[in-house]
Amino acid sequence: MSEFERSMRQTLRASEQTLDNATLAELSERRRQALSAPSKRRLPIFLAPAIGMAAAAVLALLVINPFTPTDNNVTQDDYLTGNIELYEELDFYSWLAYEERSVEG
Amino acid sequence: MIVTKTATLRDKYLTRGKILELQSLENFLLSVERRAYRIAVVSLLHREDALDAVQEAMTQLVARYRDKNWEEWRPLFYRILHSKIIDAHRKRKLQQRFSGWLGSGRDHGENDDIEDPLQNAAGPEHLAPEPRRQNAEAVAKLDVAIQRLPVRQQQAFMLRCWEGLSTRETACAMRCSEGSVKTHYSRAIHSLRSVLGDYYE
Repeated sequence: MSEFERSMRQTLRASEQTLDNATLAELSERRRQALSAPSKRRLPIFLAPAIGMAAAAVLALLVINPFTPTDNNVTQDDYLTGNIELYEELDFYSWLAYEERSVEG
Repeated sequence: MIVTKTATLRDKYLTRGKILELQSLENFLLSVERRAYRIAVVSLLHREDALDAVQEAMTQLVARYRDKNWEEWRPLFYRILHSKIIDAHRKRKLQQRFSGWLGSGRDHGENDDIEDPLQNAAGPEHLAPEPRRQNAEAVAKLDVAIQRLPVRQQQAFMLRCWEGLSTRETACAMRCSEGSVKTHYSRAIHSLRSVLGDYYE
């Protein structure tokens, strides 16, 4: 470093010691506020694809849910009404099953 | 019972680690705040803007980079600070343009917070009035000369000469190559020498 550069550095660094008390107090307060800032921890970059895929999988599950009926017009009652004859003739079919067992026996 | 005790001890250890880390961060910020403020005020010529830039740089360092190795804090801090200074310049330009369109005539430069390099660069109290005045003049001349440099030369000069960062650290702070740092710095010194040569040599 040349004498010129050294001289400038000396002048600039000396000027830091002449700040007024109001500015120093303000700097102190702002430093305190900065230290109270919550930490924003950054995730390692290699996790980004994994997180992306996980998010895509969750989205896919929400869109394509195997447990929801694919036909919007079908209700739970429809499953019951398909077998309504069975329920209305339940006594008959029970008797029929009993008879068949008796014959086989 | 053993698991609970281990967990409590672990929490104590982590808390102690966090306290040490915070103390270390606080010491670092204490060591740079005056210089950072002077750098910001020389660039921005505005006390409040300079304080805001310094606070934002401190906040971002604490929030995002506290886990980095302490040796990286200095170049990181100055990188953030210079980025905030440039943001403040852009915001000011936008405000001036907007004010011009509305015809309000209010210029940021008329604000009472504008730093007077001569006023704030008063010499140390222990000096007699005349040396203090001369010192203040020297600082004021230097401040004005630095302000007139192009932004990148200003940054390179402040980081290399004033702060004392190495070429590599300055390149990290300025997000450019070491070759660029050397170029900007040498041009800055050349310009400053042509303006201040007789005063400082």
